[in-house]
Amino acid sequence: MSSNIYTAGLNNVGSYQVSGIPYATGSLNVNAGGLTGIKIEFPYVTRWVEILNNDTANDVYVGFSSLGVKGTNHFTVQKRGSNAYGDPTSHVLDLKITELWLSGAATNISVVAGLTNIPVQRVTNISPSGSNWSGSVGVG
Amino acid sequence: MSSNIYTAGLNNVGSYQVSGIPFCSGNIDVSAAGESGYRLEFPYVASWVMVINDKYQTGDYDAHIVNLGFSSLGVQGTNHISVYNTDAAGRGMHRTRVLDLKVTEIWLSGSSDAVSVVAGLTNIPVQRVTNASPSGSNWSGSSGVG
Repeated sequence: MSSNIYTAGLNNVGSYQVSGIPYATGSLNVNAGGLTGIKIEFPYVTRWVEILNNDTANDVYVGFSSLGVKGTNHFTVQKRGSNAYGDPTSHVLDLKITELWLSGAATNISVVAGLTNIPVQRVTNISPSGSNWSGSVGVG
Repeated sequence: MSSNIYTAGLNNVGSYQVSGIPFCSGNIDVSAAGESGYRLEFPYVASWVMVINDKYQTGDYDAHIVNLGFSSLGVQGTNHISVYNTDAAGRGMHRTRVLDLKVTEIWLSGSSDAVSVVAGLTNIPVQRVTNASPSGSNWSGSSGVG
C-alpha cells in the first residue's frame, strides 16, 4: 500500500483564495531579543500577516530574517500615539512566509495572521538558506 | 534536446492570486538621491507594493515628503504621488495603502532620509514587463508613468 501523502504546493491558488486559519500572538516583548530580534514561527505558510504596535514609546522593525532586521531589509511600524492619531499597524500584507522577525525596543507587539494549510517545507525547500526566503534579495 | 524554460506570463492570473514572496528595504535616504530620484529594483514583478515614510518631524507633517513614481521622469515631473512624514502627534499620511501594481522598480524622491518599502512579489521575470514597456523599462514612457 502506498504511503504517499500529497499536500498543496506553494503556488496552489485555491489555498490563498479561501480565508485563513487563525493565528494570533500578543504582548510580545521584542526588546528582549536584542539586536538579533525575536522570531515568530508559523505552523503553516501564511496567506497574510499584520503587525500591531501597542507600545506608546518605541517603533518596531519588521523583517523576514535575522539578517534582515539587523541590516536594511526591514520596515517600521510606528509606535501607538498618545491620542487618536497615529498608524501603529502594518496593515494586512499578503505574503507567503513561514517566519517573521521583529526587533527594536518595543515591549507590547501583537501579530495576527491567516494561515494556509501549505506545509512550511514548501518554502524552506526552495529558500536559498533553507529558511523562510532568507538569502533572497529583499529579505537578507 | 530542447532547452526552453517556460515561465508565467505578465497576465497570469494565478501569480497574482497567491500571496507574495516577501521583499522589504528600509533606511532608504531618498534625500541623497537628488532630483533624479532613488531607484529601487525588484528581482521579480511585484504583485503589490507599499511605501512608508518613517520620518518624524515635531509639529510639521509635510517637512519631509517622499514622492513615489515609476520612472525617473515621473518623480521629476508630475507622474508621482506624495507620502507625508509623521509629526509628533502621529498626524500625516505616513504611508501608502497596499497598491496592487505589477512593477519591476519604483522611484522615490524628496527630502525624507528614512523611507521603507515592503512588497509582495510574483515569480514572473522582470523581462515580462521590460519587453512590453515603451522605453524597455518598467512601463517608462507610458501615460501616467513618465
